[in-house]
Amino acid sequence: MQPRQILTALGAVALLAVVPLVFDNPYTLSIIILTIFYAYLALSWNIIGGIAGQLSLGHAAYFGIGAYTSTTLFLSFGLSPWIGMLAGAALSALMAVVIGLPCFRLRGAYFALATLAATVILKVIVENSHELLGGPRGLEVRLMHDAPLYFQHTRKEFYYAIVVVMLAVALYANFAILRSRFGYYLTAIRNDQDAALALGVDSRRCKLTAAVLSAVLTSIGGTFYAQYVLFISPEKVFGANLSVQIAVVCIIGGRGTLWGPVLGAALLLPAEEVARAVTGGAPGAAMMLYGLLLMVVMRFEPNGLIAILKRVANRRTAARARVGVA
Amino acid sequence: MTSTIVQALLNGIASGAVYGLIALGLSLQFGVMKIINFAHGSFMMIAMYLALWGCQHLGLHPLAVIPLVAAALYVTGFATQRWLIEPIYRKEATREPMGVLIFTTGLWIFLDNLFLAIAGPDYQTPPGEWTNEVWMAGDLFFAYPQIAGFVVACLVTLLLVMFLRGTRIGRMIRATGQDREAASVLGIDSSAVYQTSFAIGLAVLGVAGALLLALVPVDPFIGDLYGIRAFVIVVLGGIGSIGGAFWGGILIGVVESMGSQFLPITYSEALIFAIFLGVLYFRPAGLFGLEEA
Amino acid sequence: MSNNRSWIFSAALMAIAVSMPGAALAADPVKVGYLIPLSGSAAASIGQEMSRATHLAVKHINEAGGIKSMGGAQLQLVEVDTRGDPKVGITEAERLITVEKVPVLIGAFQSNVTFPATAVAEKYQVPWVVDLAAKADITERGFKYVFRPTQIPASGNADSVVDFVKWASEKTGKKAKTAAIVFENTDWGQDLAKTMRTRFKDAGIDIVFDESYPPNAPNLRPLIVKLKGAKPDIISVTSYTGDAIQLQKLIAQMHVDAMAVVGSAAGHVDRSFIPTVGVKGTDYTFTTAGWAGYQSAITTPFAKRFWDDYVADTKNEPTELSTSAYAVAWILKDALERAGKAEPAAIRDALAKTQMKDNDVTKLVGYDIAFDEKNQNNAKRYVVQQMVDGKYFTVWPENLAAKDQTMTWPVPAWGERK
Repeated sequence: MQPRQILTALGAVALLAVVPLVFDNPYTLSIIILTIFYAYLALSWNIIGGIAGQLSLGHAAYFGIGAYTSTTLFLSFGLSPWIGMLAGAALSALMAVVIGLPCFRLRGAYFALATLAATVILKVIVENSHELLGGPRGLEVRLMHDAPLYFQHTRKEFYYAIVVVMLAVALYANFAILRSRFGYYLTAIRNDQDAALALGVDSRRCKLTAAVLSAVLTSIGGTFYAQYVLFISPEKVFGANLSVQIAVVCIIGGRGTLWGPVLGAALLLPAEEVARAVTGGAPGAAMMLYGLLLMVVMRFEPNGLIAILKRVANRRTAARARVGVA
Repeated sequence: MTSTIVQALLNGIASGAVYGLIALGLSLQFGVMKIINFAHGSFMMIAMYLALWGCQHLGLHPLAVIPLVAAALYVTGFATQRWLIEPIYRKEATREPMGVLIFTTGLWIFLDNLFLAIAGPDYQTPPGEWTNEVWMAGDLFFAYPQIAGFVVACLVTLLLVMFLRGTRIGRMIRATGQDREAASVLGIDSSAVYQTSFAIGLAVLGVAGALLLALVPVDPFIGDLYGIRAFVIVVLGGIGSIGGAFWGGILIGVVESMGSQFLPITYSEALIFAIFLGVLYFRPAGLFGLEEA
Repeated sequence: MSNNRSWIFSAALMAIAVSMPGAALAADPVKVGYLIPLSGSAAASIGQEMSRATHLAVKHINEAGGIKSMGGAQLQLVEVDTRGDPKVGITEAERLITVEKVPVLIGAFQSNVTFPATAVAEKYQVPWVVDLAAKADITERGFKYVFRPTQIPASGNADSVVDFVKWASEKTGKKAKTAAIVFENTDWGQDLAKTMRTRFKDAGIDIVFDESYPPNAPNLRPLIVKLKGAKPDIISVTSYTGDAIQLQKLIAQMHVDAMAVVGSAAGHVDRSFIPTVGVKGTDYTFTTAGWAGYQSAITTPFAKRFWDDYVADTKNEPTELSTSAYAVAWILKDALERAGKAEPAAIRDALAKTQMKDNDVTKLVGYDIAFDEKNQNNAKRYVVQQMVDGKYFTVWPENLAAKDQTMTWPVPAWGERK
């Protein structure tokens, strides 16, 4: 890497380390954690939904599997959620294949609906399993106060550090994919699957790989959520709302790009809080905002906000070049 | 025991006809324009609220509001297609209209929550005793709204089929749906066709919503539940097939009603989706539909 | 003003301002965090009713001079809509504690919200007075900061249903042999159903139908069709408002005949239940109620003022829901008076020592207020009421039964009613 890039990276690390010291109010810190968390989820979704262009509206399935697997193993066998997280990821990978194999044959909207349907079925199964999985009332993660080996701590800084690492991993995954041949294939599939097939791209294998990667990352997010909120329920972790929200954050930010999902989260999560505060917690205010923004973005800049930023940046460099300042 | 089964079956057919009507508009839009409108359920919710307000503030009978709601939704459909969807649709004319899909997702979220703010979260039912009136045939009970729903749904479906087969506009719509380029060569203005078919689709949805209001209470998120059913029915029945949507609706209604007799009611949602997935996987063209390219 | 003059002026202002806190502190309002569902849930209409009552109580308390031991400090409700969502409950509880710095919380009506949210309060060691959440485990966790004065675990509600059925069977000689349990499948419904199953079985009553439904389900017709086919003698319904209304309408429409339909308070005592379903549709239906009603409870000027002001404010009559909410505020006031300062630990200790017997508050709710070692008040009992002609009247236990009405058991078949 160039020295400039290394410097930027170090600067970013320093900035991130300082944040919890500056924003030490637990409530503000929790907003920050939530924002980074959604950026992570959006980046995970981006692999299959953005780069590969397969609009999955059922990612909550993996999130829920992650949350429920680690929590159930913890509650029933005392297994550390760190290990449960890996089990959940493996299960989610399996589920991604199970859902993907039949569904990837379908196009666009059919695929979206099929993923939605799969998640609803999962949700209903969990809701009906009162003994094993707690049914619709959900599961409480047993309070252990300060137990970092069990993925729990009373201080938010613990979760902040973890979510930042998660973000870095997701960023790297996206970065690596985008620069690799695999990423090229995915982009080709996204733009025109038939053409890609004609050129010999093994579309099914590529999509499945992307789906599995995306599912594994999302599943880890589910475990994080369970250990952070300490309470999970089918509605929350398998709900369509979550699936849609993840996808929307990524799309508004700019799907298929590296920083788009991060931008989307950075904008939408705080905006949601502001909307809630401004309207005095009026129900639906935040979601109305999401819907409106999504419509505006799709109408005027379908490539997301990141594309708008790039255009502005390009115009500035062009202007500078003209004036001869650079 | 058997009277329970018969009751459940007939209930399912009655509600199925209304479900089919809900799906009809979607099938039309999907078949003609190949667009997926994820806000379909939300428009139905709006239709239900309009019907509700018509009953509450204008003192109308739940059946009398139907024409008003249909008209209102017709206009809404026209405007939505012309100003909201068309501009995006044009941009991605050849590829799959994912942009429209995502746009309508935003519209769905927006409308649901808008009405949450306008109408509040509580369930509401239309005033008056008519919705509680019951007709008895031996051991069987049918609420007036069930009977009305079935009759009106069948009627409207029939009218729509006749319209599409018999009138000039109807034929233009079908032609555009089959082959847009060929149709435009023949001088058919595809924009106008899209606007009209979207409007008709929503008008039919308006009728369905008004009928549903007499059966089921309305809240801002009612559209989610029934909107998804509409998609399942459209796939079951085959894209663009009006008859398919109708029969698909009946099937779903019966499955829902009969399924609940043998499984806990909490499984009925999953059952419908399982059927959906099954059809998608084994017969994606639907049970009655034509092969989709 | 010239520079010098304005400098002196602002210095003077500052001096006055600095000396003010001394006086201001004495009357600093006591913030009370209040979580309640006001929207987005089948329980929203109940939440709104309770909220109005809580606000009324705070108004009355403040008008009467606030917390005298704190220099007349006024109570200030910091209200949050939980939307029936446990996650909102958790995050908002935390926000109220860490940002708004409330020294005490009340709420949140629904068990599935109250249960996890009170855990947050316990973590931060801030006391929480539970209003009507009935999940048993809320006070079974060994928590020190969670108090429940106006509600007993859901099992108590279920006990009343079964005890009433047994009593009515004995008294009239018309015995019930089979029962159906219909319940919403979150915490509250599940808890009630669990107790009912065992108690019915112990009473020799067979359970021929046992099904839950997801709350806010729009179409419950298939459930009622199935219920009708099971032909139960007793139908027990455990629902919040929206579902209670729907189920009752369907039972009436489909002429589901039984010896009795018994609701479990909540939705069945909600102010919109009878108006929405209609008098004909609700006639002769029973329900448990945590409050015996006007005749037994409105016997003091305190209670009368509550009743009159509540009716004037909301155009509805109080029920168990609003009465409990009103009482919780006054129980809190009592504890604050004894605590003397708006600090969590002091309030907590004062709450633990609460002893109310034969005073305005206990007469209003119908039972004494005191806490056992789990901070649970065990004095409350559920009565059973029957709806006739659009009004509720108490039928059980006998000593609280209305004197001018007789119970109808079994209830007439739908086809025979006019």
